[in-house]
Amino acid sequence: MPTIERRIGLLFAAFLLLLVIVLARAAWLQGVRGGELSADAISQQTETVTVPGLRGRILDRDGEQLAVSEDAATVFATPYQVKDPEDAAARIAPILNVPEEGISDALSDRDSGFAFLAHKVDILAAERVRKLDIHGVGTLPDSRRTYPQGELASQVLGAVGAENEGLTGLESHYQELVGGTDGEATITRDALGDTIERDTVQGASNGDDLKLTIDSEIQARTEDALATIGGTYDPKDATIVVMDPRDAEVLAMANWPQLDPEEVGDASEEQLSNHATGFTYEPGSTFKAFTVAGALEERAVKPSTMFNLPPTIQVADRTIEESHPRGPITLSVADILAQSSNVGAVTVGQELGAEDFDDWVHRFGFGEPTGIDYPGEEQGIVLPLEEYSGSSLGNMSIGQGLSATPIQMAAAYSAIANGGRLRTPRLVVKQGGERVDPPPSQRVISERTSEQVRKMLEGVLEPGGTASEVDVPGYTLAGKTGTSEKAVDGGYSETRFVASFVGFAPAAHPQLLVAIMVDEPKGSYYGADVAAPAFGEIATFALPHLGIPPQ
Amino acid sequence: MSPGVAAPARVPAPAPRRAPRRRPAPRRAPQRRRAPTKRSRAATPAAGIPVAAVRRTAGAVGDIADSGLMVRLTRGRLWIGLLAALLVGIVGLNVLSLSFSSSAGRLAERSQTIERENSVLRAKLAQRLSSKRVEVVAASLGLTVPDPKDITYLSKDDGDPEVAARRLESGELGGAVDFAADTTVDATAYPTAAP
Repeated sequence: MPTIERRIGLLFAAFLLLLVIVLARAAWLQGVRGGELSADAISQQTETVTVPGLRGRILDRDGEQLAVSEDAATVFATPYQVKDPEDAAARIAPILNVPEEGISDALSDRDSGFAFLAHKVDILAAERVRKLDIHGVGTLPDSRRTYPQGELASQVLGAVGAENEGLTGLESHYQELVGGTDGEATITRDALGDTIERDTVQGASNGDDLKLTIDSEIQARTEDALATIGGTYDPKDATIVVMDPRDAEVLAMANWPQLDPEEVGDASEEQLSNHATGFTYEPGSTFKAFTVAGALEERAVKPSTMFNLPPTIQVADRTIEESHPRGPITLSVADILAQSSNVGAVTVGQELGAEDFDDWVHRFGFGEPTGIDYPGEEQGIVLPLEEYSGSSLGNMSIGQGLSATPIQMAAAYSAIANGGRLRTPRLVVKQGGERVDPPPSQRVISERTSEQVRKMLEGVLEPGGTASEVDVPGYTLAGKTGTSEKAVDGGYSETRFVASFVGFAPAAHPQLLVAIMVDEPKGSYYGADVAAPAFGEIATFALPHLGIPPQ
Repeated sequence: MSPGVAAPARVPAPAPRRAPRRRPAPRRAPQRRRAPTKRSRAATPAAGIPVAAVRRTAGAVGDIADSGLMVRLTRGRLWIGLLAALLVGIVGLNVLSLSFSSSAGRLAERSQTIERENSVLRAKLAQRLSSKRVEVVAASLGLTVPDPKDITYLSKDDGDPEVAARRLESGELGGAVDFAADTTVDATAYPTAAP
């Protein structure tokens, strides 16, 4: 009996000792090393990941998607952890569709603790890389911008940078609205790497959608027309603005050369620019319509007023002549516009007078930005009245000595086309589902003057007019051609021209306006040859497309 | 020893006086305590539970140890099974809890993955539905944009809507239409094109 009790006592003592050891160990682990071990565990088991907030979509006026965002991934490596860089590169490169040498070089830099292997790759490709289970290679969530319509309206939409921020165009202008906000989540994993818990630290929020006034089909036709000009005349650059003159909504805004929005890194300055708002040029003869409109409004002339015009006209130190030499002629104001007579337009300008002319130039919005919802709009150059020289009025009456942007020309012509109201052009109709109210308009000329100028501009596309070859069956067209020499070193170049045309249809109740500007075309340089045919091409598609019946 | 001295008679020693047997005091009904004129400290609402209730509870808990069930449990082998069951239960609950957490984590991860895949699919769909592509496909089917002069516009008269409605109803124009029926269109149904 005592032996048994002794054994039990020993056993008890042993258990007690073990218990003391366990308690001591527990106290050591939790009390002394607790903080350190806890930190280690958190770093090994938990991971804070970025949850990308996608940018909002950009849609055309019919809801067609022009720019969308999708989830993507960035593949990275910790080079010194990669055991066999050559083998890893050989396995990763085909999946990412990148040269093996690049990956191999990045992985072979053993001193580096971090290297990007590929940015914004398809998530399926990233998943395949992850499944390779190469120690030291990982993926990070990211997002990327894609353009379902390809290059369509690329300069208008703009570009997005590596951090998904808008760099140019509408992507930049509406960054706050369209740009999403990234979130954060904490993932806790078990020893096998499986997720045990996922906590959202900060929720990601996607950007709002932006609905444009652009009609993607008209935009496509416009770009086709511009590509034809580009292919035929190889200009330095060119742009076309298509607008509904009734509300100044931009239906298309195209530029040449075109830009691949997903390859902006390789794009030239010309490709990145939206010339419709950022390029200023001397409008030349297309400006004569405003000289005439001002003179009509001031009752300085009537459409039927006849002028005996000499072959040239002397204005201070400058002799202004016609584009094609001719003898003395008698022309009405309407004929002056239809035949684009320089001498005639200068004469009408002189009838108007410098002060009134300057007033009308500003009333039509020249010399200041139109206010279109697009970044980096140029305002053009208009000489202040007090700086007029003896030849200024003569020059400006025919669109020289001042500069304007294509969008200014389109907006001002819209005022002539729509009955006399100047409206701010706009590109956006809805922001995040909410309709954007159109900006207020202001009356510039009377409906009567508007109608008179429209009627006169019909003559430009009729037999005897400068653009008589342009025709859209069933519709009456109106417009004005322009050819201007480029200002170079204080003078005018004899080899570099800007060809332009602004036209609208149907002439009596315009619902479509097209402004075309071609900078330095090669071969022919007349607006009638280079630019006007594009108007016909675009109107032929757009008028029926918009449901505008022929007269 | 003198003979005249009689030996004392042996008399039984008187029985020791027994303590008078007390009748057990009748159980007194527990005296009702008079309600104190002043509230005792223990019974104050600030103390929360009255002292009497605490005592009763303590007594009841103390009695558990002496209860027959506990005695039988601790003196038999049943307690081993009971402890084992408790331990297995605790471990099981923890395992279940971890398992649920793990499932929830996996589901959250899966949901995130599906959301990401959806965004990719939406982008792909947008590409496939782009007007450029549709135009190419339409052209391959022999469809073209009509020339403006080939488009015929009809002028309408006041009676036209009525005539059109009558012809639609009669089926003369592409099958009868039941205007009373639900005319909701299945937006997911894609139109088919025949060359």
